Amino acid sequence: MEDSRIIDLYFQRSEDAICQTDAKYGNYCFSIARNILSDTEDAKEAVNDTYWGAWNAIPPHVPKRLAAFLGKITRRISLNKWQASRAAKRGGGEVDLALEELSVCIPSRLDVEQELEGAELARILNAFVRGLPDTERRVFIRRYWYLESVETIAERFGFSKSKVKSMLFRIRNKLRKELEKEGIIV
Amino acid sequence: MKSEDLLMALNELEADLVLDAEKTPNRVFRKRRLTTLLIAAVLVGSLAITAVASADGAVWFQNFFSQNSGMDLSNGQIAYIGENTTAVQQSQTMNGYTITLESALSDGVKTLIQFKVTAPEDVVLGLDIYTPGNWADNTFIVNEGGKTYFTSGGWDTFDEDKTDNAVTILYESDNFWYEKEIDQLFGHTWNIRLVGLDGKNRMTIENMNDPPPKQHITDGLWEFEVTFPESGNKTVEFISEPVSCPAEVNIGIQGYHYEDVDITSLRVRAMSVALTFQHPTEEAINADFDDIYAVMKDGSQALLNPYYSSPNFLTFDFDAPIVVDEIDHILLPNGAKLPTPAE
Repeated sequence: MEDSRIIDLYFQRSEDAICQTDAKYGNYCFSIARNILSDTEDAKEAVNDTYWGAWNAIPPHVPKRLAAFLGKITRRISLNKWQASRAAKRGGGEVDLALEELSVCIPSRLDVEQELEGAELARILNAFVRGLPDTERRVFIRRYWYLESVETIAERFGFSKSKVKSMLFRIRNKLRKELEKEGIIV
Repeated sequence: MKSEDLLMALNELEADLVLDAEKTPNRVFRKRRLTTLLIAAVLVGSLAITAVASADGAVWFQNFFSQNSGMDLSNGQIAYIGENTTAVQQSQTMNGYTITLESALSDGVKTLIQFKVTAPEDVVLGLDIYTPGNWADNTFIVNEGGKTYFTSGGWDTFDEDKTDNAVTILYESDNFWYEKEIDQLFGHTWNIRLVGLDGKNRMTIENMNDPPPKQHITDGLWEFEVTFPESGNKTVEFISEPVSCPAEVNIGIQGYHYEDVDITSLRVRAMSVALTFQHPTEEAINADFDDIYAVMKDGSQALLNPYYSSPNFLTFDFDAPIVVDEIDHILLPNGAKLPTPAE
């Protein structure tokens, strides 16, 4: 079913909206949740919560890209669940690895007074990611948005793991420099 | 700010960026050697061939490599690109689509070909202009005898003139499989054909801007002639006897783990490196090496980027061409140095 028709179902408050969403984007959402959450049941729950989130948001919201809209909800919910599970010491998996990798992007000189507002950080990140060459951009997003493992990305792109690692390494260094440039007045 | 904040903030990436990462990668590497040879086909009558004045394609490559590596190029690198870039500047028009083959650069193994596609004015060509997988599989250079050399690779697109109906494409190809015959490349005139092997000898242009479905735009055959200068053919072998080096190997139930393997050959060219290795068991296995660098005489380092792997064989490329004669040594992940052999 076309996205516009699915969105119409949400506006009609038809429960078929959830069925159609699940049929078309269930696997997509589950793959995002599963990358973040190591437990399959937790991932399924995150997907169900995603549908609930979409049900509450539409209307009034009209997503321009339903897939991305659902993916964002799934990612946010899954990361929240991950945080809760980490607090209960049940964490691990790709999120921990991604966080460790991303820690090198944080400029060491960024102090409390120079904390970036969320919206400003989002603007910088969007500009940075958009400016990357196609392949680097897609690899970066697969790793840090979809939280896919290096192995999965290597397979997807036909690269060796080392190439993915070295590519991500260089992108993270670029990001750190960009954050330094944007967030720090030297 | 913590890395967690960064991870959360990435949730605000714009939708088109997120969805774009769902697309099929634009680099396709094939393990199998192409067995089908492209046989010369007669160009159709509507094909108009024009040769225009030679332009400095080297400048384009210099800018590209500088951006790709994030560094200013050395004088030696600039000289290498200048000496070995073939400025082709040939245009052909078919079905209203003009392809201009601007320039080409090859070290004998890795070849970069830059061309521009210009559609009729009412056609919008996005940067996602896409040629099907079989194009990457079965393209590219055919010599006069009908022998195919460059058969796999990927491409990147650039919106250089900011017009809707034109896009610049950099095609990247390697021919490690043909390395033994590499001398045949240089000094000869080659026909570069933009074709697909759907049995019709044609190149299909599709627009991936609004998938799915892909928008089929046109197909046809565009053919150009290129001569690669002899000076590009320079290779240095750094291994005279096997050298032990740790590698991440995947063997049986042990899964991925580090073990020493013997590097038996490491051939360095200006843009590419081919490495062969042997596991102590002499099994044919896949392996990844941690970072390997070419250390230049001025102390600068060029990382060997893993490019392709198959059992007992790996290839690498550089972010920017290096001057082979300026290599001081190769630095292996375990700190071992492989000095440049005496001439």
